[in-house]
Amino acid sequence: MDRVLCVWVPDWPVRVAGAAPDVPLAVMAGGLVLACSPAARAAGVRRGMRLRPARARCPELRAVERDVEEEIRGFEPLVRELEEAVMPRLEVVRPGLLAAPARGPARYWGGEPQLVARVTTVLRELGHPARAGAGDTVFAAALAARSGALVPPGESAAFLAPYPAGVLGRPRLTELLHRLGITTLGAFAALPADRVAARFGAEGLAAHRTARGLEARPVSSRAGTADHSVTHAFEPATSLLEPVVFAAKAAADRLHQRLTAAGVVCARLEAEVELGDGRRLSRVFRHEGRLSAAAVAERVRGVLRAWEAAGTLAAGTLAGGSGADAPTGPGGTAPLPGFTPEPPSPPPSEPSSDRAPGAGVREPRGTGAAGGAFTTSGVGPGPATVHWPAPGAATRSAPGPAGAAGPPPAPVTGGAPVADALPGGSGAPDAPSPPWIARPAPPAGGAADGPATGRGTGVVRLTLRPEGISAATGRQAALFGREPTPEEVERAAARVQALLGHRAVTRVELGGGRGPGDRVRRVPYGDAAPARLPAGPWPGRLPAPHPATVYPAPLPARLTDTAGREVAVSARAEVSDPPARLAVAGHRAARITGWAGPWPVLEEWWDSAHARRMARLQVVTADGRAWLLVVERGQWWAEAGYG
Amino acid sequence: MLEIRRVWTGSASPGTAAAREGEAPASALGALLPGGRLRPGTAASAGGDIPLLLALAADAVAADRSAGRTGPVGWAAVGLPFLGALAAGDAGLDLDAGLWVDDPGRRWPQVLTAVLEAVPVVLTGPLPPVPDRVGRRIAALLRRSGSVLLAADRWEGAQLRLRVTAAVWEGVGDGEGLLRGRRATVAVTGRGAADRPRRADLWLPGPDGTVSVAAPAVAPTGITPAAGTAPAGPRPGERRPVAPAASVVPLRAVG
Repeated sequence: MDRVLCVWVPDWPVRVAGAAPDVPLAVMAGGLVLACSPAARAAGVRRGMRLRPARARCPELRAVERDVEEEIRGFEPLVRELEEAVMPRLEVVRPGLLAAPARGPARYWGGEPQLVARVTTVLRELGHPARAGAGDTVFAAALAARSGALVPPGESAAFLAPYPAGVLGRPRLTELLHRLGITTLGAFAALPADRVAARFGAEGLAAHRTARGLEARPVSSRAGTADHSVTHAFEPATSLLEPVVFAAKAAADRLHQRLTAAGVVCARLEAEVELGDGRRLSRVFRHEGRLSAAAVAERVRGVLRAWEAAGTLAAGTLAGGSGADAPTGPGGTAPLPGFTPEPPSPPPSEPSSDRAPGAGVREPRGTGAAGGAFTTSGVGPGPATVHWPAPGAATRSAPGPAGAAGPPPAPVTGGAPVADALPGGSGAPDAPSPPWIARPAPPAGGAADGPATGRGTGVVRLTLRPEGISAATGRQAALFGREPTPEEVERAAARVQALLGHRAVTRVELGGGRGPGDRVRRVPYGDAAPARLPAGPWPGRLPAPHPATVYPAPLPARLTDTAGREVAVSARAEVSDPPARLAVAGHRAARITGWAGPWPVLEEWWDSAHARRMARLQVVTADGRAWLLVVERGQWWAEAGYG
Repeated sequence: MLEIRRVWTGSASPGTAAAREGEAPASALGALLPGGRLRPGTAASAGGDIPLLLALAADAVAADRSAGRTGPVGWAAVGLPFLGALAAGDAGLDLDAGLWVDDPGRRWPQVLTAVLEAVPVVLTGPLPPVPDRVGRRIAALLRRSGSVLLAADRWEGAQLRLRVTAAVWEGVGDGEGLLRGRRATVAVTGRGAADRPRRADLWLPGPDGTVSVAAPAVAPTGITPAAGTAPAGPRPGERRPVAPAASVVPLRAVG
């Protein structure tokens, strides 16, 4: 039976929100309290409350909206620290909760109590109170972490038995069980499995397994997928880009053949290069079975280019401006040791006094998990050679984008049950045992290098490793909308994203809405589309021809009548006087030769926070231009230009 | 709520028929382009007129499609955060195949080359001054990849420079109507343009967002027949007459 260690940082959303412990603060998600500070809890605020009852109990309660991105970003340094100092295989269940296979690290540190002590000490040094617990499953371990318990092997079911069925995080199932008189996990676990399957279906069966102290899904599917990974060794090591890209294409071909032969697709693909000095760099791409071999090679090229560019910079500095906007999605794929992702800029809201070294450069950490096998000197050889990548480059990640091409931080849902929130396949390297010793030393930060500094650099090995294997069902075709995007566009997008960052490249999704800008949604290239607004009838929407220019931010405008007075629109949608002159910011004022409207729009009148009351007007000026103007609260704006 | 409905009293809207039937070799802009099409591997500039830029892009996409490509034709908009997606879709660009790089920043040459290597039709917004070296590299890249570069404003290496010399929007009156289309006179200069007409009257855009040849004005009430049937050539020396907008009342607000 596997052992799982869970590390829990209590009230992580509150910590990210950055309030003093004596300030009553609640982090809201979807109108419900997601987490609250100790002061608020003392006043009676509880998780899952609506804001009003919470305010009733604690009138001075400060409520802030949840910031998932900030939570992920703030959590990343903790994950990295644990990776380097305690154990290399980690999964981020959600920000604030980590799961890790416990057996190896426990043996290394001398037992589970020692491992737990080590983890909590490391996190306390970073200034975060943490609890850790161990169990046979992630679910049990996560519950154990709350009380800091170490559930002995084989006793997870007994440990879980007294908990209420609600901890399963499946409200509908819980409600049903309550009606059946089953209130605890123990009672649920006592039901025969076949009856549960017949009555509650697959989801119920998974919950039943969870309640019985069995893993609904394995922690990491990596062990089972190691067969599919493809390696290409370079003999001698190459310091040129093209041979690596060429090999990547051939390797991707082989990989796809293997996956096809096995009838599976992979959700993600990890490309790892091993350098002559023993360092390994890796990057995870989303694959979803839709990348061709050429597209894989293209992504490898993009990432290598980015690493190369980062390497030309002086050691220890951040790699270019775009590094900061790299979304660091832990998303379940913990980066490998030997590959230190670019530390994100420290979140401003986080109390960072205790993390003085700053996020950019880490101090050398030689004697940690590396077991002293390699000493980290902290001295870079300097970018003296022309080899690629420059040896001083250390193991910094590419400027952002490719990281974002990795798995999305999907499992970060608020109250999701831990067992559910686990990403499908993720985790850890295919396992030399014990893995953290067989791996080369995690280079300590910007300038450190292994003992092999003197040897030539260059790529000695390229490995493509599929992750998140699932049966090939042919569902990927419509990932980007109705028709598959031309591959050339995807390739170009990947390269530009490698240059500028994931969010710099977007595509357009049309949705509902009235204004020309409302109907268009920009989605970062490679991300799934957000939910569409209904196609609607949308009364008040203007027909074609549509404006060719839609300003991302409307330009302030001044619309005046013949006497020079500002034109107003009445509640009955009538203009006060015919407009005669239009001046748009950044454009020359012009006489108006024709106008149409106004068409009033009242949006979301039922919601005072979002309600908009405005009127649109089409205006043609003497210089041959046509504008779409909108007036809101007495101010005219040029929303779009027709040409 | 107010509902806006198009109420036509005249015949079919000009341009639509031409756009649907006459969609093959000759495009509306064809009269201005050497060979009737934007040639692969060339660059053209639109003189700051975004509808004209979209028309050029639609023309390039159509050329690419008629060259035997199946499926959507990829295109990219670099440095054009304000490009209207709906207008682009109406002009004939496939929004699902579009790629937008709103802010290429200081690394725009790299971005542009990366995009031009792979995407057949590339639109660019206003760019910083282009160093000679970069311009030559991009020109060489265009010849090699066969992509088409369309600059919204100006591009030193553009083989064709188009611009709108006069334009009048039609459809709105004095507080009534709805924009219907723009009659624009487009002039072209550049290589290969010597034996071509140098200007053309176009609906840019027409009532359905596409570009079509505009017949030189007719009587105000009888709206033109389908424009494809009308002789399209501009008459030398003739000022393009414009129907007085107020006399056409194509729309009314209902409700």
